[in-house]
Amino acid sequence: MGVEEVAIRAAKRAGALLRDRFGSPGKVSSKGDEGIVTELDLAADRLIKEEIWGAFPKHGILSEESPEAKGQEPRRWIIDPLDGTTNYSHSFPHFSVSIGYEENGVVTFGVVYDPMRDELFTAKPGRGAHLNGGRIKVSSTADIQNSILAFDFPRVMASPGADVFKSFAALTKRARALRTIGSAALELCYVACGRIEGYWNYRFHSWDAAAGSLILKEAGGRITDLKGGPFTLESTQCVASNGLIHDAILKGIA
Amino acid sequence: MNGAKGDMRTDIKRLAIESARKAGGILKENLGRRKSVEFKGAIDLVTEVDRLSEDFIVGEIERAFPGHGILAEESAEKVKASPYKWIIDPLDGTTNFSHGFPFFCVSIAFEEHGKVVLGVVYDPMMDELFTAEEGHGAFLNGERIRVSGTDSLDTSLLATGFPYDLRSSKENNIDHFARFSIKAQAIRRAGSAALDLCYTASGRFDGYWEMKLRPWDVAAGALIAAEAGGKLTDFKGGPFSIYGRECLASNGLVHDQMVRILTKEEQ
Repeated sequence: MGVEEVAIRAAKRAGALLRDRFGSPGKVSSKGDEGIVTELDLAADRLIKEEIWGAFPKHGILSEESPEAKGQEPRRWIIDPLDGTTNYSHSFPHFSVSIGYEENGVVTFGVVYDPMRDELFTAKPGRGAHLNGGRIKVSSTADIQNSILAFDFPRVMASPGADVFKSFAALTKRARALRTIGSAALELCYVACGRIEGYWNYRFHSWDAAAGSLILKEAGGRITDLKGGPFTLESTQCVASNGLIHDAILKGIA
Repeated sequence: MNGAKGDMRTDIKRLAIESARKAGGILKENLGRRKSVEFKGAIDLVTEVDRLSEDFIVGEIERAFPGHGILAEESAEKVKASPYKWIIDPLDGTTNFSHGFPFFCVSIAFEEHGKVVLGVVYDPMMDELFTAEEGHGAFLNGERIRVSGTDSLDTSLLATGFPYDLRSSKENNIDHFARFSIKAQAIRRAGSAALDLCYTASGRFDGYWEMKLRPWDVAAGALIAAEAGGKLTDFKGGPFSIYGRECLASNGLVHDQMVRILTKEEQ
């Protein structure tokens, strides 16, 4: 099997596990400021690693749920076995499995899988983005007042008068509607397929972004940091959009 | 449903469930069509689909129960000299639907002498049917559902929505949202009041609050939440009415703390 087959198979197998156990997430533990982890995050993490190392024993793996395993080659997998852990722990059916594959520092394949809706988002550089095999594109909505936006922020940033609330108040008055849904990887895919026009996040990790940012870009979208500067996998914040309303979001956040 | 006779009760329940499912099918079919139209066209399509769904449900009710009153989102109320009234939202989550965001539903409630005694909410994208009859519990796809056992806001997942006039009115929920964000584990704003109430009923959310609601947004969902063991009040903890404009629904355990935050007793 090649990289793409392994990535898709791992995402679907982990997704099936999460779907089968939906409603009984097992023991929930705190990760302090980084939120929570369930037994199922860890089970999905093990399953994905088995798949990857079964096919490519020398590749490195960076996962949200375990210390980085460095490989011997410049090939690395960046995985979030369960993106949307808070949702999963409450049985709110909005979460995903995210797997990105990187060669020499460039993500060359990304897959995000939503097992509850059986939606598989994939992308390869220069080949476009797909949802269950059909080509997807960002929306053509050019006005922020006709846009649905989504955003996420970590609870530790919530304090009276915090910036996250100022931006929220400003943009909720400009946009048609604001959503908070709680799975960063899936939100990037929703921008990619035109269900929402924009998304911003105040605490972002490489495992949230590796697959989703490629899917977004291949669907014609734009991703930057909160100030409009270049987005890399080291970025800790992001603004993602269909491109057309990007500056309007940046202005609302500033 | 003590008022209506046994046979009629069965017929009402069957009609509510069958028309919610079929109307949901209409929504789902037309969601695909949405992709082929431009934005202006998308707005027109949503209006058309909203009407299609409503006309279908109203047609079914009028054929079976011509004497019943009907209150539906898209038309003037049909007032009848009858103790029976149907309260319908043919597409709750219109904004989501117009963007293809898969979180919307059909909501149908049946009222007897001013009291909702049957509620049906159908989400066609997840194929989830929430039902409740007064005094007989709440169900999701035929299985009994209960509110969550979370007893602290700190570990609660809450839901809310924002009013359409938030640009012009100061009473716009932005302040409540900020205070709850500090106290709760997380807040979700998915954009369908009826589904938010059903998710509170099934324990996916621990609590939900929203202001400036209309009867069709909450008539079915509020009964489903109550029958699942939930508590419903206004923001001050006083009696809830679908004709009031505030809805606070919770698993009961976090209710008092939510009231304290909504009344700003607790900062």
